[in-house]
Amino acid sequence: MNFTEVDLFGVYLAPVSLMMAAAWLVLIALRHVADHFGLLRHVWHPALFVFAFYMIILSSVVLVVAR
Amino acid sequence: MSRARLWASVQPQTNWPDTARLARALRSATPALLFGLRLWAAVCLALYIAFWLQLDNAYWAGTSAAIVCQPSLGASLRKGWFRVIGTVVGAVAIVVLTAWFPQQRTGFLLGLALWGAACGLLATLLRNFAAYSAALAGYTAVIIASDELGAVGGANGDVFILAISRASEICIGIICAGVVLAGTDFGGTRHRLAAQLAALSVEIANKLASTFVLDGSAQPKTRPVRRELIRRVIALDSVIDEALGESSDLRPHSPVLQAAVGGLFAALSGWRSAAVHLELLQSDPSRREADIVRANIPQELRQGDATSWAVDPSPMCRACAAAVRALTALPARTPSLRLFADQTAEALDGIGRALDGLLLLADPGRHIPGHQSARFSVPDLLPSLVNAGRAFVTIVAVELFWIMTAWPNGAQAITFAAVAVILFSPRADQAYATTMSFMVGTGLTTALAAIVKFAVLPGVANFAGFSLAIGLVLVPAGALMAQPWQTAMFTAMAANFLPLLAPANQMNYDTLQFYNSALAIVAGLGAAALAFRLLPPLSPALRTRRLLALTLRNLRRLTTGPIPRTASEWEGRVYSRLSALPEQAEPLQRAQLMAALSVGTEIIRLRRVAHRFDQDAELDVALDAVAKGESSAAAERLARLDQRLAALPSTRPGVRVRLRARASILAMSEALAQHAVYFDAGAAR
Repeated sequence: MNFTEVDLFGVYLAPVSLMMAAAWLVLIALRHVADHFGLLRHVWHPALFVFAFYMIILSSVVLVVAR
Repeated sequence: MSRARLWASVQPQTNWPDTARLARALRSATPALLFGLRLWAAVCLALYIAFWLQLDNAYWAGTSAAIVCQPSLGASLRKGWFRVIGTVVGAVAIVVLTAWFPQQRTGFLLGLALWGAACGLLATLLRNFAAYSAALAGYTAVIIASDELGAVGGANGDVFILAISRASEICIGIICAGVVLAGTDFGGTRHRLAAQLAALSVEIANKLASTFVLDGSAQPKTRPVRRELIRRVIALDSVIDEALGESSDLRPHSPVLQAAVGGLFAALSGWRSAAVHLELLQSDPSRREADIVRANIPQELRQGDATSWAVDPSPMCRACAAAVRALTALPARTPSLRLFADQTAEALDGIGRALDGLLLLADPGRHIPGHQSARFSVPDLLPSLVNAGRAFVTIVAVELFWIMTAWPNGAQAITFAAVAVILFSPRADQAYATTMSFMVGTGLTTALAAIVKFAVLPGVANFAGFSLAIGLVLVPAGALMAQPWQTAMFTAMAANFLPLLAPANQMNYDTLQFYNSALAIVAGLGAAALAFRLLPPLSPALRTRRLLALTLRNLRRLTTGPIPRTASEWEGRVYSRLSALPEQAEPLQRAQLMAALSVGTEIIRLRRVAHRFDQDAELDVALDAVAKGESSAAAERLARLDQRLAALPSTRPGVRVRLRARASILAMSEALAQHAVYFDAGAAR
């Protein structure tokens, strides 16, 4: 386990907040790809799909960091 | 070219500020700046009183004052009054909830979510400020609950004291905002409403009269004009509510203003029927009939002037009443002329009701008889149920997150999630964008609050200095709230600044607590925004389709069952649906609803008349076709009924009534033919 608080200009941030930001950046990139190929058009509920994908990415980031 | 002129043309001109332009810009920004100053004064007054009374969370008084302050005075005063009601109801509800579930975390938290859902339901079902009151009852309960909840949920025994102190703080804020705004701004909504009502009445009257001059082939050009006028009449609703909030003497007469809007809808409906008839009958006799009816419309109504109508509508009221009497008594030999006369009389009667509203606005002390209280009618239940479901799911989800993570500021996140999900739900398709703007505004406010709290306030020793420090944020935020761009973002800045700053008699400069608190607010708003994405409100297109389908279903039900004594219930129902039509609705869809109004009114009238002349069976056959969605068959059967009524001997009493019934048949057949696609939709099989 490697979850230690991050010192950002004197403010201590919870590690999960950085992981959430990282997952969000990954999501933006993947969303661009999905938009380019029109993949989200085939999804019943795009917002729910994107949210579920975000949770998968975030969980993966947490697991990778925890290893 | 001389050397001097050459020099003058080459020399760059100095760009001094254009003083006239600067003065214009300052003049246009003055009302917004004044509003910012008023908001700041209201907040300071509320905080001063709360500190003087030594209330434990004085910042709720300032926060309430900031939220109650609206750029429009009417909105503020009435919102303040409704806020008091909502606050008291919410405080009572949380005390009762705590008493029901002592030491039961699950029951209490589920009860809280259910209360939030019920308030979300009412916030969408009710309209304008009554909706705001329902929303407040929901989130006042959550605010008090967040204070009494322990580390991971469960109520404690201090709820009664907390409810009283929170309700007192909120009421202090409301009263202070009301006093400051009412003492510094006298509002102008009543004049704005009078001007809009007069402009609409004049325009409808003028264009109704000019319809009789146009040829049948030119009539289709009047359709877009009518459809645009329907949209403008719908938009009167919120102005009426503001005016009622601004003027306490108008409130007891609110049915007169509601009847004025109904009158304008009735006027548009009558105009529509006359125009459609002219369009379908392009013949010389119909031209002559049109001229006869036009001659009965007084000159002052044909060429009215909105300004004079708004100042003194009495002469127009008398002219309308006289014209209605003349048109009703007009001797007519043909159903066509009767249709023109009756529909024009109906339109002028509607304009007369709008003028009654103008009379009230000009002289609120005047007694205007004949207007009963409007009956509350729900246009469509589904959007409210969706909003209630979303509120319940969101509150439960944040509660679960809080319990699982044992986050110390979780209760605050629940509060702000509930506030956003309940308060912004009635905005339908704008809810997500508004919540996001609100969240961005809160993020910006966090930075500003941090600067004021950690850099400015430690050097301030008294209340005057503190007031100046918060004015640095509140005055610009208030001024920016008063302009149309990104209003939600600046509202968030004004409303959330004090909860973030958390001023107290003994200030606490704990950075960790500040950032936790800010994170809780942003997380709560983020949860609400996510809820709006995952459980989106019904789209405007779907809402419009549903309103049309529900009206059609009600119309088909009118064809069977007991005959209504008057058409007022039907009219009230369609008016509420017209008012609920989204701004994005197609003009054709508004026209379809208006045609349904006309057909429904004629059905009620015909059923009463047919019963009198023993023609029930023939009418039932025609109405059965309407109910089955077979417009062409209905038109044929109505024509047969018309022949039977015409064949009745003239010696039999009720000649005028029969002619009126035949005119109704004509109007109904034409409306069915014009909007056959709508009336035949989803035909019963």
